[in-house]
Amino acid sequence: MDMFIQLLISGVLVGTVYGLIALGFVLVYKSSGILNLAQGELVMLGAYICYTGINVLHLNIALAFLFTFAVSGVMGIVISRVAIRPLVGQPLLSVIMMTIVLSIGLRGIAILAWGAETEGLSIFGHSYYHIAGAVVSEQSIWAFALSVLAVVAFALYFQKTKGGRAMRAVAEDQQAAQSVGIKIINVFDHSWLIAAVVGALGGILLASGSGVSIELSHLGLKVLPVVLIGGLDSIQGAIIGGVIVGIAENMAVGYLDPVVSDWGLVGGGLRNVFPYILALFILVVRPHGLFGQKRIERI
Amino acid sequence: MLTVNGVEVIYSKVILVIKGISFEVPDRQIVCLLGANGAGKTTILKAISGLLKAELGVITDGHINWDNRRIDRMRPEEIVGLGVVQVLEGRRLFRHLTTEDNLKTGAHIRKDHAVKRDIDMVYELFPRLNDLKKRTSGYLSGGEQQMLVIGRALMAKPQLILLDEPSLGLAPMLADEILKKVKMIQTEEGTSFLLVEQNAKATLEIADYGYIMETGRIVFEGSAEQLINNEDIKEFYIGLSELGQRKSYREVKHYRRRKRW
Ligand SMILES: Nc1ncnc2c1ncn2[C@@H]1O[C@H](COP(=O)(O)OP(=O)(O)OP(=O)(O)O)[C@@H](O)[C@H]1O
Ligand SMILES: [Mg+2]
Repeated sequence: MDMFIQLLISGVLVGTVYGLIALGFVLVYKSSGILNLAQGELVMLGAYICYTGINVLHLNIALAFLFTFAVSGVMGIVISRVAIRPLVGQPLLSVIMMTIVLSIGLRGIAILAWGAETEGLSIFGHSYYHIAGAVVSEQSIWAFALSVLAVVAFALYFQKTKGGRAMRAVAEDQQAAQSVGIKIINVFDHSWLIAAVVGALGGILLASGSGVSIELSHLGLKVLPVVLIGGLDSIQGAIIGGVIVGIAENMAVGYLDPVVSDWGLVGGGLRNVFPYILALFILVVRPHGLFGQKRIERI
Repeated sequence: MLTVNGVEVIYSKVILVIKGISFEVPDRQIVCLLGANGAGKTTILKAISGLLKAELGVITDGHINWDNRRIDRMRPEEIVGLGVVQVLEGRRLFRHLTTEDNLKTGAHIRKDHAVKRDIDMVYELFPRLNDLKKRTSGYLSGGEQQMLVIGRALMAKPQLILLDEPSLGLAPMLADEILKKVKMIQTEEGTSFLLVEQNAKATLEIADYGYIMETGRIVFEGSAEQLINNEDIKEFYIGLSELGQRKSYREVKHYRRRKRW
């Protein structure tokens, strides 16, 4: 029972970070229908940029965060304008190819700029706390708290502001949005900006536990099972999907890996595979994920 | 005043849909555009509002002027900014947004602070929407949705509304009610309308002037009164023969073959 609670709580804590990253993915998908396969690289770059802010520019932590958001935000807009805009209206496949090219390119840039070593990014304290019978690190509490804060801030923006309403309008009906004077490509820019910034924050938070390395881009790709489970076009699905994946991978490590080892197979790999297996099951039952595509049809 | 001058529209580089059309919409008037399915009515509205570009449609000839400014090269948001707003056919509201949020998106291009007041004006015009403020708009009834898309267009404070088939799929009573509101907006706000409708009879009752379109051309025009009293119009678009009976589709089709405009 203790182990279960431990796995559950650490799963929820890391899962909110996954949810945050997936939120960026879902936002781009909702507003422009593009599957952003470079979201993992945006996550990785965020961590590197923050690392540079702290270790090269010697910024304090708060400034390093702001620095990261600014650089990532600009990067998001540049990607949107330079790489995505020319492809608006092109076949979906070319756009997806473009995001794959982007992901390879961005990873290449990261290797050139920062090398292939894993660097530490210890921005939070190293204490441990006992919560409901589980041991949790200060780092994971920060990661959870900042993710929740970012999600709440985003939700307020999305629901309550003019920019957020324009995004929701475009997500629903691009032509109708144009008919009221919303400039669609601006909304695309915004969605990439937000995707880059929440990705970067997610990257910093993940790296604060695991260190900064190219591997983060694979960690960032956890958005795939997350959005498959939550539903590609659902913001709340992204968050809940993130938590589910966080819990699932922890449970896989705690309960399935030992069993697999007993069978004489190599354990330890299930952490990354299990979320996909889960996603597969959920997709069989609900093809659009748990929260996806709830279209209102009433004519 | 809107002037459309010799406009030709081609879709996907090859499909010629509008074959040189000219007409005008004077200020504070309701001008209607009647014609059979596929005549190109929606296409011409989209050509004016700039929405054509998103559909691979191109204006290949002619020009469109609004208050002496050429608008056929402008982007949709610029055209909305100049006071010309299209209400798309098929009640295209933002279904997951509430009634009130839909109205707010209508004011997207505005920077003034009177948006709240104008929302209340829309509620005054369509009291039914007032009771449905917080309702997810996708669940409104067809008539309520039509009121909402018109209200949403009003939020941009337009001088000209391009209104595409507002009564499509509505019960006759409701259709009449919507058209009455259109008349009311024209008289009270001084908004002009370019109104596309299938429902010729009810439309001509509120319109000042009308054009009849057939496969990409204007084949007849006249004041609403002239159109109402024209035998051919009665025949084709109102569907009443002199005997006051509804003509069957086949008869009309037959008649149509004999007599070209
Ligand atoms: N995006 C498009 N690409 C190619 N052809 C199109 C496109 N949109 C419309 N058309 C064609 O152009 C012609 C005119 O269409 P349009 O929608 O303007 O007619 P309409 O008069 O509004 O008809 P309805 O009364 O049925 O709404 C039709 O033959 C239609 O098939
Ligand atoms: Mg039409």
